[in-house]
Amino acid sequence: MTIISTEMLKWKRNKTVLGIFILTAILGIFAVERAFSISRSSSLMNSFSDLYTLAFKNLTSLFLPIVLSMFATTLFFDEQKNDTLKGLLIIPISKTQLYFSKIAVVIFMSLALCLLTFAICILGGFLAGGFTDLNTETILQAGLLFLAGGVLVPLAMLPVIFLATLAKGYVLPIGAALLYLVPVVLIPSGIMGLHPLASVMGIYPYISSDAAEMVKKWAGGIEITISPNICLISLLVIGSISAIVSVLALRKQTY
Amino acid sequence: MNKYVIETKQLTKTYGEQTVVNSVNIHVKQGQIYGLLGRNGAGKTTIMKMILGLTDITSGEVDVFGQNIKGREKRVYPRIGAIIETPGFYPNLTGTENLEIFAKLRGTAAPNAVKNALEIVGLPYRDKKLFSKYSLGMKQRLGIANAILHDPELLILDEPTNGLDPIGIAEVRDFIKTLSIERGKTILISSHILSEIALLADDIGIIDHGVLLEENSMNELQKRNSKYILLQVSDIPKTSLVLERQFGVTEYSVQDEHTLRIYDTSLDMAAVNKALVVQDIAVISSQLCNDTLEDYFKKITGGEGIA
Amino acid sequence: MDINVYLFIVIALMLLIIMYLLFVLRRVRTQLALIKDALEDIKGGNLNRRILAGENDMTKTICYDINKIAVNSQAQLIRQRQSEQAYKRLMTSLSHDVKTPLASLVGYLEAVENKIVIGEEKDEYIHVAHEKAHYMKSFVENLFEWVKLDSGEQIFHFEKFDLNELSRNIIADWIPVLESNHFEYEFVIPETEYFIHIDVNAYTRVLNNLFQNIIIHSAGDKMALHICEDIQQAKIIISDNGKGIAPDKLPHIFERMYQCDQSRSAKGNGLGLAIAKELISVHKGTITAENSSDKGTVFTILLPKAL
Repeated sequence: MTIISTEMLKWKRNKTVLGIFILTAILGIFAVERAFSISRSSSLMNSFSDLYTLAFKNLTSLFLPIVLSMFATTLFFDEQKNDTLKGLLIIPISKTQLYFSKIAVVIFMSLALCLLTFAICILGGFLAGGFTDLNTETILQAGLLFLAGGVLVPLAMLPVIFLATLAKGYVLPIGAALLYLVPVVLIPSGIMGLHPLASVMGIYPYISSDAAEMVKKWAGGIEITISPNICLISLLVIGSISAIVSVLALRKQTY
Repeated sequence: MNKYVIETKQLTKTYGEQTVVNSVNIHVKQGQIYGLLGRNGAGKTTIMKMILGLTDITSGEVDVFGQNIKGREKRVYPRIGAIIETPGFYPNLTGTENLEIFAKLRGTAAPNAVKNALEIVGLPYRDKKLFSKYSLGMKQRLGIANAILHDPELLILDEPTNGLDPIGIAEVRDFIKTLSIERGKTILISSHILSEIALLADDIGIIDHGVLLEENSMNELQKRNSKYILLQVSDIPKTSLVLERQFGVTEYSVQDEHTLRIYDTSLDMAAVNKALVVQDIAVISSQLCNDTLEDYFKKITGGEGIA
Repeated sequence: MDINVYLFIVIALMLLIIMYLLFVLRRVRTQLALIKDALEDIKGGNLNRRILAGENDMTKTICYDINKIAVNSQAQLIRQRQSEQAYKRLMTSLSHDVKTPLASLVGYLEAVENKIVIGEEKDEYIHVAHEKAHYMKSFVENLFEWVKLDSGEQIFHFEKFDLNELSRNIIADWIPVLESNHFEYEFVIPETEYFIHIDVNAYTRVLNNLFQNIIIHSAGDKMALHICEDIQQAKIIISDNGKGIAPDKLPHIFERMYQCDQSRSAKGNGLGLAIAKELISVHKGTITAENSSDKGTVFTILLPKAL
């Protein structure tokens, strides 16, 4: 607990964190801009769900995985770059504790970005006006989707974060993140239950019908039939394996 | 009761083919300053890192506070404060914020720990200056503040005066001395500068190419670092008369009934001996002690000397 | 449906609370184990042991209090040990400081007794022996005074006195001595009255020691004493134009048995300044020494008007 709270303290005045938030805000504002420019009669933007799923897709499809892997790399790498790792280790904080606190921070970060986008969506929805379905129920549904995305995406990124723990620089993990994304962009429906990020997409549809529709469009019109439980289990199994491997790798690393 | 705060047994570290630390047995006594002396790359830092668990031990054991540290890290390390190489801190935070992070993580032994630690090393509390803007001297001070933040029993300081100007070095040295004398801390300190260790340490371990060449108390070594003539004679009062009247020597002291120390080493001993014999004083022995520590270290490191 | 959802939320919340409580319980339990461990250690005599507590730990105040007790008794123990060590040092140097002049004194007297020297030379020998005996007398006196001061057995009588008048009286006794040692002198003392609570004997002693110090050690030929006063304190500045004191020795000159000459030459006894410092601190004042910018040494005494 204390470790996580101090992790937060370390990000005071940090430009990377500020940059990430600004980029996320801009991304959210893009979606809102669509809501302003497209008329409500168009099927693309005739309901609030159109707005928030657009913003959600923008955020979680590419931006969030890349940003999170970059952020995780910074988390692990900066500790080495600043030479603070040895200071922490002799407190002593075990490498396991260190790993999980960093992962917690990544999840918090992801949640924060999702909630930021969520807030921008609601604000944008009210400002743009004309959404007949902008009520508590849809807002709650949207919130649930963003929450799910915020938690699940970092879990899906654990295998890439494993590389981040080993990295001596930013190039390898970010390159890996991009490679990791390729199959998801190309054939998302074919690898659900195998590829964690695709599995996450397999879970969204069960949150709401709007989310289901979003994923359907996302996957190129294919109906998602895979059970969310399989996706969740696969996600968790792969995540746990990555976590275990990461901790072992960290332990092996002599300072 | 085991009085050694740190004891290593056949401590060895190899990187592949290369043996960096070879069967080192050091014994750090409670309340003493132990100086680990050796050139850069002699293996000092590696020994400290092994004690602190920052690097794996190839073979051998490390006992801290009388117990093997393996598996007891959580209990032992909170009682140690350390600086290894250059101190690492978060550049985007101020000195106070940095220390607050470490204080939170580690817990503190008294209220206002951060403020007190900063005060002791002479850095301002709640200063706006970021760590990245700190000078090397300030960084080193902050490192010391962090090492003493939790009032540990044992301090492990790796070249704590590295990169400081002469005034800073003297300050840090005085500070370390005070910690030992007035607060009873046990300190393991490494340095490649002989004079620095000579001024600080109670015990000294000399390490070269990963091998501990000698471990001894500084007092013992200082005896070899003196300049005087040791004169053993049958009659001290008569001898002192001869020295004062005939040779004008005033700088001497009487050790015991038959032994004198003359601090003027340029004295012509042949003439003194002759004069003493003329006065019917038997000269049992006279020897010139003119060793310096540097010479001694040169001898034991095989002529290469240390720094 | 609604009831089910609420029920679910309530159960989840309760589970969270239970988990939190279990977490706290575990934390407290480990803390207690740690406290027990540390108390055992402290009981065993390791007063350096500290117990670390986090900001939000329930046991924080207990830990801090235990630490405080340990710190205090540690400080006391160290003070005691320091005075013991100083006492030992005193004994060893005492034996040397008496032995050396005593040996030479015996040497001179033997030469006279055995008629080795006659006539004028004999007179000179007797003169030297006389001087040495005097030196030893004053040394032993000083030493006793020091021991008395150090052990707190000295009793002081503080009375209201005019500092200026008192200083003039003391100086009057020194003028002939200064003249016979070829010293030029300058005294600047206000004509006004300045009443201060002071022990006359102690103050006299301080000035005497400083004068003596200048005559014996400064190797100059000019000295001055200035007194200036304000509502809070009196400032007494005594300066000479002698050789000054080496900067590395300056911090130590008020330590007992510290003499600038490495060997123990016949003059001085290394106690005068230590006594002066002790006496001034009894008056809650301070005494400092520094090298003046041009030549010689400046001693500055600050005495508070009210004790």
